[in-house]
Amino acid sequence: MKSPEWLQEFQAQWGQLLRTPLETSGGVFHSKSRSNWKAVYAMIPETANAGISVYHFQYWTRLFNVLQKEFPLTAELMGHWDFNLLAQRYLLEHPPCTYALQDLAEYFETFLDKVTLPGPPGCLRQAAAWDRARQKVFAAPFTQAWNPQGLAVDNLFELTLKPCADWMIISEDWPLLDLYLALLADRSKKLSWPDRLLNAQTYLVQRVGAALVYRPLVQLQSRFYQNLQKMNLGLALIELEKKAQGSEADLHEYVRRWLQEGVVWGLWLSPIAETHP
Amino acid sequence: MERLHPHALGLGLRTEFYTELFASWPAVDYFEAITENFTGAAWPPRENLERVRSRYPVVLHGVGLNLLGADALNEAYLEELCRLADSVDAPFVSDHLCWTGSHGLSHHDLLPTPYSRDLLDFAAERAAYVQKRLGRPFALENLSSYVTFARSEMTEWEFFSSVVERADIGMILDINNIYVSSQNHGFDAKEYLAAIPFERVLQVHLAGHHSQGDGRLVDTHDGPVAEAVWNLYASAWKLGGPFPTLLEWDSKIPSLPILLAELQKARFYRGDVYEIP
Repeated sequence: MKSPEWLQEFQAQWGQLLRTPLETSGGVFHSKSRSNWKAVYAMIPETANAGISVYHFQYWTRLFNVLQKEFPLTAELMGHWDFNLLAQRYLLEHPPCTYALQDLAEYFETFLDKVTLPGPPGCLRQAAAWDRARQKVFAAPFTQAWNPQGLAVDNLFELTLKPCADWMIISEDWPLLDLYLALLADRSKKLSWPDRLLNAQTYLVQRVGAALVYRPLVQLQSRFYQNLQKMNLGLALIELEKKAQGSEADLHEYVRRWLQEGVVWGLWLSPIAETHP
Repeated sequence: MERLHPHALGLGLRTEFYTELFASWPAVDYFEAITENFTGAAWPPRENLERVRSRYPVVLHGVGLNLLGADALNEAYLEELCRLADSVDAPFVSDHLCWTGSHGLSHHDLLPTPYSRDLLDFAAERAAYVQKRLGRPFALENLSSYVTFARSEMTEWEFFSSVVERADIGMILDINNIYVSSQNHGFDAKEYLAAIPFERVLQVHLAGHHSQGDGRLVDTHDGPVAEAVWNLYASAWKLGGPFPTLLEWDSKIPSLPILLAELQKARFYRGDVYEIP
């Protein structure tokens, strides 16, 4: 199934045309013909200038809209004009290369690390991390959570708990979750830069049914769940003891409670008991 | 494999009306799902699709096949498509007679090519291959377009009909696209209809469009079907009906009852009832 020879060249030229940045003069994004589009114009009647502009404009606005939907809090905090200018720079570096529109956002967070952003330093990057976490958790594959009858498991401390795909832990130094929920409740709400929190707050973001829930975690609980992603229960507890203040008995009681909560919330797949030689 | 009733009236499946849909399960003959919204590992979209499929037939309509792209067909995409089609037991699967990307990049738009003789066999061979891979009927849809090409050697309807005849596949006839292109390029939409082999039409699409300031029509799917498009639909029905009819509404989506009322207008224009329902 070999394509006619002219097709490759035609499509290369058209693609180059589409990826030409939109003009921003006059405070609006618009398509303006460029001299390097001549090769494409050679294939169409001269009256087609306006028609080509429709495709050019559609290409960019569609991609802007996708990124705005993937990063709603980031876009609202920045303002859509500035967000789209940034998105245009990003898309020139990372033009879409798969049929799935959601893949477009893949490198956006990494891109943000390289650019100067407005607002309190670090705030927009955290907003982007929140946006990405929500998307990833929501779109995660379904996994059957471990649902034991109580926690009467032999060799409890040797258990390795593999996390289900539908949750993440995320911390914030600004009240970004509150801002996002306010935005959800009223899309017309104009957001302003938030004040920094006195203490960082950590949440477990989880998909429950077809909705997302946000569970506030104390610092040790968050550390415990994160440790469990890397080591067995016994080692996670030892790591926690190194950081914790207060009595060992208290800590063990907390850990038991956090473990039970984790099971009730459906955080883990059926555990694999490690076998030691 | 279930077949659609030739008088069936269907609706493009959109997440915006899921809540209303799941609460009321209205009388709709079938839904059409956008393929790319349900590929990948994400669980909630699949779960929702299964809920819809448990009540209604579901046909699949893609935007990412890139049939007229110079690049090789994406086998991983086709594999996903086959799996999805099997999972909903789609009466048919469709995509567009267009290209959507080249040189490893995706433009996420339905782009036209010149209608040249040397492209016919390429298009037909690829379309036949897709149908064979699917093991179920496959159809191509006509585009709306904003440019024509000096290189074209035949009309769009000659090209469209020739490809589906050579590939021995079905047609999705988008009446709104015919109307939009006829106004943009100055051809007679009824001449287009007269050339259609209606025995190959598996479904007709209806949608709204937008008129730009310069008089150009853009296929936006963001409003009710225009009177002129309804009249063209009535002509198509007289020429080649009955055929399943589907309403697409992708942006500024109103409530489900408004969508259903718009869909029911089809019964008036094809002469089933004497007043607009």
